[in-house]
Amino acid sequence: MSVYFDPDIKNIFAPYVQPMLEVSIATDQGTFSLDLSNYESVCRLSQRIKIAIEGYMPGKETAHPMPPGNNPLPDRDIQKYNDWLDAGMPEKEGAETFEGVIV
Amino acid sequence: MNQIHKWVLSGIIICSLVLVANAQVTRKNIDQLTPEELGAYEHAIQLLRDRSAKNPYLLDGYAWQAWVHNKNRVSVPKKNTLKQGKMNPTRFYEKAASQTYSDGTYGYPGMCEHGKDIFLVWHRAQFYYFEQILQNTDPEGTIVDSKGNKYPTKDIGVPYWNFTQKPSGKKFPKAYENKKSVLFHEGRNLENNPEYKEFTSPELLASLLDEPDWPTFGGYVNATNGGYGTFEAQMHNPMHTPFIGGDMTYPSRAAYDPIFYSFHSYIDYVFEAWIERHGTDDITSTDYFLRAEQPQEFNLPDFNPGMGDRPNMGQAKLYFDIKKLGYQFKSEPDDTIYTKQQIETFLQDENGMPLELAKSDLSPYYKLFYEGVSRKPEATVGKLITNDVTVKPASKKQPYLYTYTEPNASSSYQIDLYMHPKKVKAEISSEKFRKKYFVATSTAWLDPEHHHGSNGMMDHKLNVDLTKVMNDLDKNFDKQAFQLTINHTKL
Ligand code: HEM
Repeated sequence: MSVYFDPDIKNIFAPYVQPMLEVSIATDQGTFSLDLSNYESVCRLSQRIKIAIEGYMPGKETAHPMPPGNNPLPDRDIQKYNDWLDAGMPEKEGAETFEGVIV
Repeated sequence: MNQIHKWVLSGIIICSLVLVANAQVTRKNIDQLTPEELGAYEHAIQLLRDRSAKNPYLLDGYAWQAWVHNKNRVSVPKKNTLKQGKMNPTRFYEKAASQTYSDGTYGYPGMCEHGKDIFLVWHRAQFYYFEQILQNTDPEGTIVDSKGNKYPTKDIGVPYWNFTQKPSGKKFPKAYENKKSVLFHEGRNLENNPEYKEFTSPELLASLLDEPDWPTFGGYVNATNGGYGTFEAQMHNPMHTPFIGGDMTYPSRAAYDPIFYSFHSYIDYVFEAWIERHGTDDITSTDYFLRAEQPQEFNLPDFNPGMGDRPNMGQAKLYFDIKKLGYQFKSEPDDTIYTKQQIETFLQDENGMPLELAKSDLSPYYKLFYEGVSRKPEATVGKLITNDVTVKPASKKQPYLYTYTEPNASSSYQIDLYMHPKKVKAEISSEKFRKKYFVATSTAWLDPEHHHGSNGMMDHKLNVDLTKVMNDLDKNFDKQAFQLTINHTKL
């Protein structure tokens, strides 16, 4: 079954949208907000998000595993996120996929 | 006025602005300032405080500049009505930062970078703007501040506090202990532990600076692993807490205390000393953008904000040449960093023989960290962690790195590390044991109130590079069974 940003990924991130809007994320392309309810924003930082949500897995330690507080997403949600990346980050059925820069 | 006159005049104005911004100023040891220089520094700080008292949301005021250190988002009103009045500055700034204005917009003062390779350069960039702001508060000395003083500020370089030397005051530089000065700040650990005078020694500093490996000294790349470098974990962090204390205890409030600036000015001196020794080629993440919202008029000529939607101070690589940033350091004889030879001599016993780890009664690392200073390893037993180790050579390619992870880290903590033969029981409460087997200490500096403004507690990691320790042991104990014992205590 296909995985889409809307509703699949958006639903996983829904509880975390507000606190992450306070944060600025530094990269070598610029400094970015991360709006976890916004397709473009999540696609742009999709690799950083992957590192962050996999950050609790053994051997994948990262400085800021997310969500914080020793509170990893369930494995099935991380799997869904990775399936979504593998599928080319489709937004919803029939919509065009993200063509911007991934930072 | 005709057009040509206008051009000439605007040319003069632009030139003079450029001159103020680019003049080479000197950052001196705070104890060596003339009364006029100290007066000018106090005057500029007072003017920043005066600005914030009327409007805490001004980018070139004291409050905002302090928020650059660690308030990632504040609500900024269309028109400010909040005034400081008789409120103490810390309470007022905290109040202003926590307001929500229905007609407001969000500002993003800054998120200091700690525990990663851009720690030193992020603070250097922060200081570049801060120093420009100070110089431009009252360049010619025509404004009377709320304490009734006026001095020209155009030549100000943020004076540094060399905290590896004996303090000129009881515990801090005299200028910071003068209760009448704007540099005085309530709440520091002045009266607590009066026996704690100096906490980190010039020998330790020199030995840390000797490390050519950038991540070991300066911090690890963030996006994957991250982690403090030795200088941050072993000198900077314990100085914030437990040594200075008060607002300096908390990352989100540290810069409310003006001592923050002289403390970090010295840290920038140390950064420059590392660059002088080892160059900039191995420094990592030099393309990273440094997050903070600063007055745009002071952006460097080659500033470029990148493609993000959040404000920044440009890329790290803009900040490696201090001449271009408009300052230089003047050091006094006491500020000269010790040579390798001096450290080698220091690490000898009374017979002139090199101290040997786990053989001599005094570990060379114990001497390096603790001789001549009041700081000592924790004698009470906290949470103990043990790791079995077989002694074997380590190298830059195959370093021996110990990583401690604190789940749900909510406040500062310290780990002291001991390396001892497996058959020797770890007796932390015994001074004899501590002196013989101590190899390192590392401190995490965290905010119990909130980390980076969020309510979420982060897992936190401390890396301690024990490559040298392992090679020291290998000389006498190759292939023998040792134990690494870690004593973890809360600060
Ligand atoms: C699934 C939910 C979340 C995702 C996907 C996410 C994603 C991210 C990413 C990609 C970063 C950048 C990491 C880096 O620079 O290495 C980050 C940083 C951060 N996040 Fe989250 N986040 C989530 C939830 C949260 C929550 C709930 C909070 C607060 C309660 C939070 C607070 C922060 C903070 C404070 C930082 C900055 C860390 C620093 O640079 O010091 N995040 N997040």
